[in-house]
Amino acid sequence: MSKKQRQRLHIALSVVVTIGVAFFALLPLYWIVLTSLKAPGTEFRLPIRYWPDEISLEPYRTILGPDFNVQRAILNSLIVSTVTTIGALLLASLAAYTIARLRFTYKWSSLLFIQVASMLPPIIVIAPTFLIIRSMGLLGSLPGLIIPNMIYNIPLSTWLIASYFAGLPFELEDAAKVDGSPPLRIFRQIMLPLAAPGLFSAGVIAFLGSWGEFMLAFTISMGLPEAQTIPVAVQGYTMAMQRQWTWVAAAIVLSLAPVIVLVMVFQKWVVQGLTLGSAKY
Amino acid sequence: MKKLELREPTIAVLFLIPAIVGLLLFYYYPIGHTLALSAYDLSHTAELSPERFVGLQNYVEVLQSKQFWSSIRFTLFFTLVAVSLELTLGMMLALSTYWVWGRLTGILRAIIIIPWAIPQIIQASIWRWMYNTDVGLIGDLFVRVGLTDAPPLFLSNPSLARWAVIVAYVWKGASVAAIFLMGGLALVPKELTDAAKVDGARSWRRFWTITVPMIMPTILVTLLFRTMAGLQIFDIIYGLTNGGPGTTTETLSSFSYKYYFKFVQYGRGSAYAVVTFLLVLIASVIYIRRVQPHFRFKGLGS
Amino acid sequence: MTKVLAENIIKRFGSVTAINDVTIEFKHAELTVMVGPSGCGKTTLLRMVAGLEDPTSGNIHIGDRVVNDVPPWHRDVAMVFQNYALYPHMTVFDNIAYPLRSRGEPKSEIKGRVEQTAASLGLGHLLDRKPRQLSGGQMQRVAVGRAIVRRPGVFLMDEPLSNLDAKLRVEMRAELKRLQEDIGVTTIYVTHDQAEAMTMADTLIVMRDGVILQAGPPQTLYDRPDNVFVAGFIGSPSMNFLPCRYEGAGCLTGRGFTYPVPPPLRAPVEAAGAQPLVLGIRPEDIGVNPQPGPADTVLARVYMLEPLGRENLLTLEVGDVMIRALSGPDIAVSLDQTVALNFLPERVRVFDRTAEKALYPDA
Repeated sequence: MSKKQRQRLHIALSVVVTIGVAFFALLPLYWIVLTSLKAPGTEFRLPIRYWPDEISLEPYRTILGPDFNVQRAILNSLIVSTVTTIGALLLASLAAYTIARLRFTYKWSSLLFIQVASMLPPIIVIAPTFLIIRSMGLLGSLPGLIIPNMIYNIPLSTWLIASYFAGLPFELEDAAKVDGSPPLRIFRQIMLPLAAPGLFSAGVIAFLGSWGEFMLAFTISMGLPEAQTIPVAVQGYTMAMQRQWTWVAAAIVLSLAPVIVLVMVFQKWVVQGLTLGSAKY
Repeated sequence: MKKLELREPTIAVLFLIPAIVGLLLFYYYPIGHTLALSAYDLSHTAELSPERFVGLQNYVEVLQSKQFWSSIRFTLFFTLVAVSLELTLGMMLALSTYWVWGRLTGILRAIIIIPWAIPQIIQASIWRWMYNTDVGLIGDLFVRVGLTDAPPLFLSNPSLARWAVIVAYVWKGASVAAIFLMGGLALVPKELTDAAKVDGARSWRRFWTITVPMIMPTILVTLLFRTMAGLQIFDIIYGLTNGGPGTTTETLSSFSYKYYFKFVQYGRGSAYAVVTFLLVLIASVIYIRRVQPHFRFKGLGS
Repeated sequence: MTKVLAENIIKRFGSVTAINDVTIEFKHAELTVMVGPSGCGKTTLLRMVAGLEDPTSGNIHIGDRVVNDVPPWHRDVAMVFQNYALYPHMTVFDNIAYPLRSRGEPKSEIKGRVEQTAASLGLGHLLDRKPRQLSGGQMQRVAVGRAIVRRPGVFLMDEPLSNLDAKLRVEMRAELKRLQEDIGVTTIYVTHDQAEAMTMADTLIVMRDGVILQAGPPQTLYDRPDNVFVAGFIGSPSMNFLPCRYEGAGCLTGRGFTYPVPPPLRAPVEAAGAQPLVLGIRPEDIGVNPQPGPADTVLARVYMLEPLGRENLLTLEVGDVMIRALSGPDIAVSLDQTVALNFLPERVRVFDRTAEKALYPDA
């Protein structure tokens, strides 16, 4: 086989592989989008159709109508994820800077204390957390969800941001010290701006994580619409409407649209962020 | 006027306090509380004024129940199968992004990353619809391919339900593993594989003798994370089968949650949670022992 | 007057002693170069003057005060780093302005001084660039600009030229030297490159294993090294060493040669008696005679000949020791030929092989 032929074969096989991966990875999404575009009731018609016959926006009209609270749930999710992310980044960047850069006797014990937390399964903390939130009178409210969520994001965010800080040259801090800046100002003016890419990666990951968080959101929301995030709402619809799958599908599509857009736009940061913590050694 | 000027150790303490206090309040205190609760009889009370100290009795009862053993067996089975599949598929996916024609790399990566972004509970809803007995996509494909005459009852046949849960879970898990492994592969210097090529190693041999040893730390970390995720699996069970049919797909976490919030038996629920925690702990310790020699957090040493 | 005094400095990192009881004064307005192999403690000493490391014991004085407890941001020092340490997210202007802003200088003054400094370094047209858009030489200038802009009392340089290519390095070293002379600031300069050290230093300090081996004007260290290490470290190609003993009769005898002790060295050599000794001679102080006569006492075999254009570098075997000599470009020798060597008697140095100390008549 000539070199050119081999190259053509490689391209052809590459296309086949890509289509194959796309088929398995995207099939469930295709299927749910297809269902969400069917006229309500027709989703149970046999035989199954793999292509849209006619497109109906009725499911979206219904699910966004007054009988459901999708808008409210999406808004709640946006609030919870945004506030959680900002709070977690704030707390984590301070801790990460200390661990990665400052001279401090209890550095390793602090790192251990923070990282061990990331190994704890949520189920072991959920009941006492429920009780704490209840005693704070925050059950069924967004703050009651945001506060623990923020804390849950600290270990991973700290790890990612600390990896980033650790990769910055130590000479920069030395230079800034000699140039006349005390440590607090160095953190603000030099280190924090330089760690921006790391913060951003950690932020995207924290945002997506809290967007999809279920156990805590479900437990704290107490079934109140004003405290439900979109995953909780969608799960509720799934359980309640086994015969109206077009509506459920529409809700699912609406719940996924923001995260998929986010991931596509910030793909680079996600991969960089996730590999930052895992691949450095 | 002299401005307040903090030295490093003071700053370190101030910077760490918020995170430490938060973790104490929402991780370490709750664990202690859960351990304590597991030693009390708290059936029939939501008020948690401990009724009666029973020591290890909750554990004894849990350990004697058939449900416990079936749930721990399923949790371990689920983790073992899911993690093996995730790692294998994830590695194939990660390698394929390096293997394909350059112009397709970007597209392929974008496709691989999408399932990662889908929340697990939403994923459960999607797959519930895909497994639908009457008009489910999977059942229809089974019939079309000729595997069965009629669409199988994926979620109500006990032996099928176990696999149905695993397949749905691995759909996303393979994507997560692939993202981790892609990061590891990115760190393998190209000169190394080039050198091996020049030395005449075929691609299969190159993979096992160069690539795998080079990304061993990443593989181990991926294994650790995925094993931990598997052992504490909850969302997909809750959304897809809710433990059914019967209790065939109950995991430790899903049982624990039921005891807490459905049966309101905090003591029993805590016992299940503690067992989950112990499993995760054992897995972590085993892995970390193996990973540690490879694992250096750059820059922290000095 | 800003002199710097390091007094009985000891620095340990765990069980490793990086600096072992060093006392040295860096004179006002002089350029003092610390040179030595890596790990000799020169950079650690520099960082202690900057305040970036604390001495385990001993005192650092800058001017008239002890600065041990003064943090770097309150010491009157500026520093140029090996990798320049430019702030990547700031423009050239902001980089140079940073030390002024950190010290709260008025805005109006900052602009003027940054522009003036940049212009003097030929950076006027680059002020809006980010560091990554600069060449190595330009980054180097920005780093220097950032250090001199605030007219510090002490100027510290940690291998500032080691990341430049060879040609640029030679250019920059002249430029830095001139700049230092012009602004007249006490400067401590660290390098591992002996040529750089020789050419730039007013005072040269050679360090090894955390101690100072010799300090003084570069020419003194070249002409009158105190010990084998300094003799071998300073000068290029480096000094040749021939192990030998004094066996009476006014002659040094080593494997394959005997050499009459130069008269001024006779007394100390005789005092050393039967100690193992080393004869040191620089390549440029060796005369090569292609036709050995019966009176010649040092014979050598030609191992290699490398023409350098202006001169030839010969590698020669004396007994079982390889030495190097520089000869005129028109010397006619062939490989493996036997030649006679004449050492310039006044340039011969003799060292005690055990103590590695040089023997001088007036010592």
